[in-house]
Amino acid sequence: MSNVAEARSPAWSWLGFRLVETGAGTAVVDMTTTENMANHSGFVHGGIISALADSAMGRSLRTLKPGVSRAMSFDLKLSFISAAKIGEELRAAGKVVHAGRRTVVTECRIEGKDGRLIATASGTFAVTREKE
Amino acid sequence: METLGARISESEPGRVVLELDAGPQHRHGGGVVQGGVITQIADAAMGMSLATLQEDGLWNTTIELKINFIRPVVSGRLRAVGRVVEMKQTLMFSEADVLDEQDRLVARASSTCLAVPEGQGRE
Repeated sequence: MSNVAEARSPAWSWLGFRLVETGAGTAVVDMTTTENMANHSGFVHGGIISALADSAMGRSLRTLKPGVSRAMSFDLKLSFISAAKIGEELRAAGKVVHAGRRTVVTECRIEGKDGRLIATASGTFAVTREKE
Repeated sequence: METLGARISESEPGRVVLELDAGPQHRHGGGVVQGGVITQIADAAMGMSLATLQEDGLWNTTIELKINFIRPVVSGRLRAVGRVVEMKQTLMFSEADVLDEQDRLVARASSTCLAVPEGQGRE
């Protein structure tokens, strides 16, 4: 799988997020979970999954036309459906649901390598849109 | 449901559609349909979609709900399309889209529900 060339944020590099593909209002981001991402129960900490979902949703809105020059999450919600194991590869597919002038509503599905649903997420972003 | 004037328009395993003819009685002072009205039909559509996949004698109650209001509505037929995301042993997850007459997205909701014996938590 080839990674799309991308100026990466320090957080993306630190957490090992990889941009897999983008489309019109969509972005797919992968990560491989590591030992230091475990919670008390030995599964992947929810905050790590939340960060992955936030990043995939934030990246999906960067594909919009007219473009988005600034974006900030102001609402993030997750439903954790299955536990993710340490070492497991996670894939987050972010998608724009509504693109307004000042806000963008997005959602995301996070799956394991086997296609098992790990979590669903929704996020709302405050944006600055470029002029048409 | 009855108080609000909503009705079931479609039902199949894992999916239920409710309809509501929005009028002056559903609007707040700002002149648009109140968010609680939209939330009510979304919640009911989600709960019913889960019920279609539950065993006989079981119902469910909402323990968590989140909604994004995307477009205001003044009047016309609103459709709440509820669908099941995942059924687990204790918790069940669902989503709903609320659409206006032109099929434009008015709101998007998600909820987590708990299975309960029929008669409990039912309207």
